[in-house]
Amino acid sequence: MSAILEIKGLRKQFGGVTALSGVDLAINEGEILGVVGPNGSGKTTLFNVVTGVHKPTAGSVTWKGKDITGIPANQISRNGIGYTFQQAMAFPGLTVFENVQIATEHSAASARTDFAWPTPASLLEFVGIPGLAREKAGILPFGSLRLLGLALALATRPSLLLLDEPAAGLNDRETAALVGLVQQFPGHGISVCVIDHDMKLMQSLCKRLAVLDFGSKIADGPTADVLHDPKVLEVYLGGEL
Amino acid sequence: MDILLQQILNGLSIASVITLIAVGVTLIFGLTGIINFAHGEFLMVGSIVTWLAVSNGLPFPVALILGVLAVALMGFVLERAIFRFTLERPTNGFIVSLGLIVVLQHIVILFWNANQKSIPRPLTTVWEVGGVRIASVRVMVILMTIAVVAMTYVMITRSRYGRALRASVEDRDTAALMGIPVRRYITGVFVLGSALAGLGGGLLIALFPITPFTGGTMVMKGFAVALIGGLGNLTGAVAAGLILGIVEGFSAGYGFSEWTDAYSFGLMILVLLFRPHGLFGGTSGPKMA
Repeated sequence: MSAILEIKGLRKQFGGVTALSGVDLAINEGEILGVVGPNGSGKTTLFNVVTGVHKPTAGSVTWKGKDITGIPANQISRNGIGYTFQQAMAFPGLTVFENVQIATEHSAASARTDFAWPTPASLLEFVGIPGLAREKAGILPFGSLRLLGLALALATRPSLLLLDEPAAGLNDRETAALVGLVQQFPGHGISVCVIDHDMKLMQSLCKRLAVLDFGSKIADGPTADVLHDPKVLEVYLGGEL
Repeated sequence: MDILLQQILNGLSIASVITLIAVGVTLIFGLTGIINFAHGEFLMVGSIVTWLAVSNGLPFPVALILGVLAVALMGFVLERAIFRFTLERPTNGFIVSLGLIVVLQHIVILFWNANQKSIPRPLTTVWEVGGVRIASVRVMVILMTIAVVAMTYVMITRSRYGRALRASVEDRDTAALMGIPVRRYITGVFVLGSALAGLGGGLLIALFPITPFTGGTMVMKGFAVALIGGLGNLTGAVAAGLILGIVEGFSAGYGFSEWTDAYSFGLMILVLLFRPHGLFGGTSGPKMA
C-alpha cells in the first residue's frame, strides 16, 4: 500500500487558538481510514485545510506526490479529493438532479474516465434516491439530504473522499445503508477518510484509526490496537470503552 | 383611458431602464453580497459613452454597443482592483461604492462638464393607435429590455454557467468543493451586471437628456425594484419592475404625476415592513465562510 495523501507537520491557528499543532498523517490507496478525537480536537479543521477551505499556517499536504498545500478548494476538488461537510451539504433552492448535475459538470475534464457513475441519474440510483430527482433539495428529509451530499461528493469523481461525520443525525437503518455504500468505495478506486464520534460506526467501517487530541495525533494504527491503547482510553474515552 | 394607456407605456419604458439596473443589482448582491450604490453611475457612464459616440457621428446601435462594452470593462477593472478585496466585508464594499459615486461623477464632469446631455431620438416614428400616441423609441426600449432580460433569464435557469452561478449564490463553499471557480464567477457576474447598467444608460439617453447626476435617482429606484422583488431574486426583480412601471403609469395617468416617485418608494417601504424578503422572496446574500 502506498500513501496517496501525505500530511506533514500541519499547523493551523485561528488567531491565538491552535486548532492543529503539527499533524502527520498518511492516507493509503484503497483504505478506509478513520480519524477520531473529542470535540475541538481539530478533526474538521484537518479536513478544511486539506481541501483548501482554510489555508494552513504551516506544514505541507502532498497529493499523489504533488504539493497541494494552500491551493484553492475548487482546484483541490478538480484534483480528485472529494469532501462532505458535517452539516448537510447541498444547494437547497436547486433540484436534486441539478445539484448532482452541477458537481458532474465541473469535475475536471482530465478526471478519471473509468468512473462507476458517469451520469447524475446513475449517482442518484447508487445512493438510493432516484425518485427524488425533481424535488428541491431544500425540502428533503435529513437522511435523504445526507445521501444527496454523498452523491455530490461522488460526482466530483474523487479518488479520495473525506467524510465529516457522515452518519450524524441518521437513524440505525440509514446508518447501516450508509456503511454499505461507503464500503463499496475502495472497490471503485476511491480511498476514504472518515471522521466520526460513533465508535460502532468506525469499527464497522475502518481497519485503521488515527486519534487526534488538542490538535495533535496521539495514536495511529489498526483499529483494534488503537482502541486498546491506554493513551487513547485515557485522553479520548475517559478511561472506559 | 387613452391617456392612461399612454402613461402606462411611458411608465413601462422608464421601468425598463430601472429593471436593467435592478437585475444587475440583484445578481451582483446575490452572488457577492456587494451592495454597489455606484451602479447608477455605471448607468450614467453608459449614457455618456453613448452620447460621445453619437456626437462623433456614430449610428445609435454602434454607440449603444460601445456604451455597453465600456461599462462592462469598467466593471471588470473595478471588481479586480477594488471590490474583490471587500468580498469578506460587504459593508466596506458598500462604503467604497458610495465613494465611487463621487469619483465617477467628478471624472465625468472634469472632462465633459456638468451640463445636460442629449442625443437626437434614434427612432422618431410615432404611431397613432386608437387615439393613443405610441413613440417607437419607447417601444424599442421596452422590447430590448425584454429581449436582454429574457436572455439573462434563460442563461441563468438553463445553462451550465447559470446552474453553477445559482449554486454559488446558495453556498459558495460547497460550490467551490464541487470544482466551480467561484471567484471567476463573481467577476463574471459583476461584469454582466455592469454591462446591463451600460445598456440601461444607452437606452435612457435615447429617451431623456441626462446629467452626470442622473445615476442617483435611477439607482434608488433600481434598489427599490430589487428590494420589492426580493434581493437576489431575478424573477422578482423583473416582476417588481413591471409593477413599478404600471404603478407609475397609473399615478401619472390619473393626474398625480408629481407623486410618482413617492409611490414607488412608499411601495418599497411597505413591502420591506411587511415582507422583509421582498414580494417574491430574496436570498439573504451569499453565506460567508
